[in-house]
Amino acid sequence: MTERTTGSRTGLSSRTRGTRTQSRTQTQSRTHTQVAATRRGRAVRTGLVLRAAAAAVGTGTSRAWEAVGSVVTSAGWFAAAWAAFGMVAGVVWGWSELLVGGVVALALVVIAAFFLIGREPRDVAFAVDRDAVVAGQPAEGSVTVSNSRARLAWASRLDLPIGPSLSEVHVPALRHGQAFTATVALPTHRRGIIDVGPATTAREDPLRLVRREFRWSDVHTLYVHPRTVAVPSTAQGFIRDLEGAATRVLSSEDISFHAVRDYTPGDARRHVHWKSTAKTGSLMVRQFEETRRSTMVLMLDLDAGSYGSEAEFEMAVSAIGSLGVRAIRDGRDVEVYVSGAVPHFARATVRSLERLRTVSPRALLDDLSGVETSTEVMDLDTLTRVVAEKADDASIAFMVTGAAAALEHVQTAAFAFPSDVSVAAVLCDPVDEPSVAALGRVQVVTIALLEDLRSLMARGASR
Amino acid sequence: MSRRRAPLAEIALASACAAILTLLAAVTLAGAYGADNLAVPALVATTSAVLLAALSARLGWGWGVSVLVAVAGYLVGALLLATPGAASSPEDLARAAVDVVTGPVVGWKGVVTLPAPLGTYEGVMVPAYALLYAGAWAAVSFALRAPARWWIGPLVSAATLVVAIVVGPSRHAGAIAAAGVTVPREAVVGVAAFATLLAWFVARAALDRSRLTGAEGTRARAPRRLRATAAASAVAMIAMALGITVLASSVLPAPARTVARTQVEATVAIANAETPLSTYRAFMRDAAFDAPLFTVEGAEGVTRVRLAVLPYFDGDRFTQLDASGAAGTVFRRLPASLGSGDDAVQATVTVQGLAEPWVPLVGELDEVAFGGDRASTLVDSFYYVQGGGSGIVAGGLEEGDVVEIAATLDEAGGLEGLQGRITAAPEELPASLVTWVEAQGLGQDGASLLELIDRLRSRGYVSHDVVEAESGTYAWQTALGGHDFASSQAGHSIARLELLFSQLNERADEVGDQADADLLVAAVGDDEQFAAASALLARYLGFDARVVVGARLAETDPHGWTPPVCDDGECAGRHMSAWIEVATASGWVAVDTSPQTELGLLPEVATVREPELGTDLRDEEAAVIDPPSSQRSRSGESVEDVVEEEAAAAVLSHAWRIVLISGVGLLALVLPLMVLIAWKAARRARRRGRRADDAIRAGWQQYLDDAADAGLPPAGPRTYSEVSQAYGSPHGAAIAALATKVDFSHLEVGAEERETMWRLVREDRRHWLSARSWGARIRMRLSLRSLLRDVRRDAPQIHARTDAGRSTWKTDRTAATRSRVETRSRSRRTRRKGGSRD
Repeated sequence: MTERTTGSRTGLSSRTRGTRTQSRTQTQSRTHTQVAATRRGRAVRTGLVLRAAAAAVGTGTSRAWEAVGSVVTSAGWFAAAWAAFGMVAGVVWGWSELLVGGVVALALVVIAAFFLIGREPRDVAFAVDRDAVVAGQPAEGSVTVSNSRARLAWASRLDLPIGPSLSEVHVPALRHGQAFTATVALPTHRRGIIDVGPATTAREDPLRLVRREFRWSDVHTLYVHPRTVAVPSTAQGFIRDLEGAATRVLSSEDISFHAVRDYTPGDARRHVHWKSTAKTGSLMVRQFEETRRSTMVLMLDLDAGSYGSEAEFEMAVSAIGSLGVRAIRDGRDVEVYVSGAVPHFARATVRSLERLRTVSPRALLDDLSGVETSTEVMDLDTLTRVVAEKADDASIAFMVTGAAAALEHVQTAAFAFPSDVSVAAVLCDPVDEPSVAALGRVQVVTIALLEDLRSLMARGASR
Repeated sequence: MSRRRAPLAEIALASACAAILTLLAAVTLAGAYGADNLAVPALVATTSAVLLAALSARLGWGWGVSVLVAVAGYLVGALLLATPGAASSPEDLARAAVDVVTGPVVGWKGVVTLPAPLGTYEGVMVPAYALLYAGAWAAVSFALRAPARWWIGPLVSAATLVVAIVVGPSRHAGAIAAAGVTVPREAVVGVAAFATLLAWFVARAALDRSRLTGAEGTRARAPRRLRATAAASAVAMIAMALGITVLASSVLPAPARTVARTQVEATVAIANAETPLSTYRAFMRDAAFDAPLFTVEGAEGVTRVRLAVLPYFDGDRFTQLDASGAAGTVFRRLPASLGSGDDAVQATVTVQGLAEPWVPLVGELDEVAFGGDRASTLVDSFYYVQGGGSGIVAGGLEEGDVVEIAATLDEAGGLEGLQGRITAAPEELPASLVTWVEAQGLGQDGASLLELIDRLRSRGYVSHDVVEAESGTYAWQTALGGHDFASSQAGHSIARLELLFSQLNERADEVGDQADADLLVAAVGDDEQFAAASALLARYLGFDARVVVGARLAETDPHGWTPPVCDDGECAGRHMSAWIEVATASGWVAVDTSPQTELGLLPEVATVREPELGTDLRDEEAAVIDPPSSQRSRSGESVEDVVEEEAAAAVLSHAWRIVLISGVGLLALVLPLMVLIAWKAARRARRRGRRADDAIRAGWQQYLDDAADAGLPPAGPRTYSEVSQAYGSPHGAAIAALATKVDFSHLEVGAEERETMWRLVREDRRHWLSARSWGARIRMRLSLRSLLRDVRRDAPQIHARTDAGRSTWKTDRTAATRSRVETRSRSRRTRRKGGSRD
């Protein structure tokens, strides 16, 4: 009898729709394998050993393949393929063109492989001075390269991915203990979320057949916020009916007491006010006031067809940011919605919207940094309708859209809200005259510059 | 999403690299076509293809448009350049156009089978033009139009080069000498191709990177010194790789070049060449009889020189290649050395009068070298079948060629004691051969075979001609010492051998098997027939045998019946002979088969009577004799006419079959449609033929059906007049009035109203038809909507634009229905409007 003990880890993995999460409980369990010492047992043991060997070979092969795949560039793959094909064709069929080309290719690949050997002699540190900036304000990252090894580190190049583009930093030769710092200006002229990093150095051959990369820092996310202006507080300005009479609806069941009235058939018996009943001699019941919380709803149209230019959309994002930040600062309940992506073919059946975070002005601005127009999103009508169903306690709604949006759509969109909700539309039109106009029950605020929003909101307050 | 337009730098890169690679492919092809002939077409093909591909990529055309433009460019270019003389006459132009269209598919056969240089023969340039054009166009197009898979472009270019190599020349192209260094042209092409491809990959990666770095203005040019260092190290790396290649080139193997042409060349040469066995008599002509063919020097211990080894018999002649192609006889280029033997035999063959592809060889070949002026050509065109087979030189030997042979002696033991494997006759054999062998009553072992061959030889009589010499005797008769002439036909087909053995059988029948030897001499022929007959005898007994044509360097036949031995290695026509080789375990054993030369041919035997009417064979006076009238066809036409008629009938019936099958297929497609139209017509006739009031009601139904066929939505719950108003046909109101009159009044209607009704319905139908386009008319006639009209209750319904005042007289219920319908429609309309906003 032989006994084999192996350690193994048990993994628990769970799968949820759409995303995959994996949790792993790492319990060191011990498995005892006993194999009977018969002939069959020997065969089985050989099989087990072979299987383990095959698994090891398989793992090793895939790991080696991954390692090769991570360092060979497309030119390198081509050279290797040409070497293999050319030498086979040259030897088998005597095609000396391919044979000679194949030998050159093989020689190049072999020479290139030598450039991979060795460790990275430099240490690289990378930092960005801030997490978030307003569009247009400068931001920069600093790269510090130091040589802590005894040998000289030759001049080299350091790649720094900034969003979709790539920045190159040329590092001079460094002696032992020397350090080199370079600052990199980050492109903050446009609103957006920029992933900066990781700083990468590479060992590569001069023809770039192979390239071994060393990543030095994590990805640093820089939020470039939309520009905002300070608008007057809406509580004292444009809106006059927030907690006022318009929302005071009487109810027979609530917590806020309103009055006592005569009993009418159908009233709940537990609401009978017995003291008043005793005083008056007839059945009296309690009447309550509906305590409704008022919510401000901001909606941003993401349909690319609503905007004539990119500047319009930027103004719209800035406008909604300004309104949202003001409302959050005022301690108002505010909900900000943008339309979600819906493919063309699914328009009739799918509705999708996205609610931005409003826990703090920073969260809202972070989220607003990432919104972009698209042709495949829900239009303003549908967005409004869905928002009206979702946020039924809204008392004021702002729709922000561009100059290309038709006014009748804005008007139609406003119909989605109940009549006790005041609806305002902010049209961003750089070429139009700033104005406030009433279109049915919608207050249409047209702004040509972001700063117009401040004055027009103040004017709205005076009315 | 707008289509991507390639940046200029990418276009320039792809165009330059694809053009260079295509021209390198053209350089390779030039060896097969001739450089002068290919230069202009190749340049134009490359340039036009690259320009068209780059232009269409830059202008952002779709794949479809750019393929069309490219095909047009190909047609024009190929007509002008790849088919010379196309413009000389309309017929030539038409043939050239067919060549241009079909050439890229079917032209390859000509490219690899015609002898190089191909030149501009017929449409043979078309495949090359198409290859270069398509290769360049596809390479540039893929490189520019598929950003994610741009590498397909370089691969297409590489594939073009490989195809050019495959269909290209089979010989090495010679060397380029520059600055005192000689480099083979293939090496230059290969290095240039690889360098271009690598440069394409490297430069494209650099372009992609520079697009990333240049995107956000973050570009920082590298310091000059850094760039210089990078460039210098790249150059050093390339120089090092080239150095390694030069060093390695001395140890690289240099096998014979194998391309499509090499396989085809030998096969074609052999297929076209007459075997020396078929032309054996040419050696015995007076003119060739003493003319020296070749001289063999050295060759110690070798008794025979083989010229051709013919293992396969197709019923007509012995050949080197299996006619069915089943047996894998492969002519191979001979590598430097087969290297298996002991090189015991060294021989030098000098060719004198031999002008055939067949090369005289001795023994089992180990190594062959060539001398003379044409040595380098011979090296590349020499092919050999291993196992003591034939060697051939594609293109034929010429006087002065020298073949130096190192070979192993392949003399094997005897046949005695071997047992043949009798199976069913392996191939078609002459019936008289079987009869003769059965009559001999011998066994089936090797000794019996030798005895059979011996009997065959001793009963044979040599003759190399059909007719007697006009004056005196032939040279071969003189050489045999005044040999009497007997007529013998050439060839060794089954029919000829049948004759040979029938002569033997008849004589044996007449004189008996045990008669004197000189009485039994009957079979007239020469080495050709006797070798073929012996080979078939051996096969009948179950031995594998092949026929060998060659000459003897030493006497091998104990009887001394064979043609004489070469004089000191110099072989002339009279020395040529044929014998067979029989396969044994130890190799091929040669057996002489020449007929005896000692006994005379007795023209008559005692029992044979002179034919009463002697017939001389006079070929030149031979005339076609009509068969007797009883065997003629009934109409008296000649047999040839009947055959032609049958052939014509076969063609006709073939055509009929095609017509019939396609007709049935067409009918199967059309029949349902015709049935549908006929059924609709029948429905109209049926409805119309009813009693007057029913016919008018049916007329209203027909009106609704026509409207449904015309694609109008169903009427829904509405009055007749509302419906007709909604349909808006010219006679709608009148039709509705008639229908209302029948349904809701007690007025009588007669035949006149019926005719009116149906006339109006017909005219409205014509109105709908005439308002439609050609296709829509057919769709309306074939529409199935009227059949489904009653089924589709929930289909969208039409809405009449009624006057507001009209609803005043309606009942509440009707009004409610209407309003509900209208609400629904409005909501639908708004939804549709909302959905169509983008």
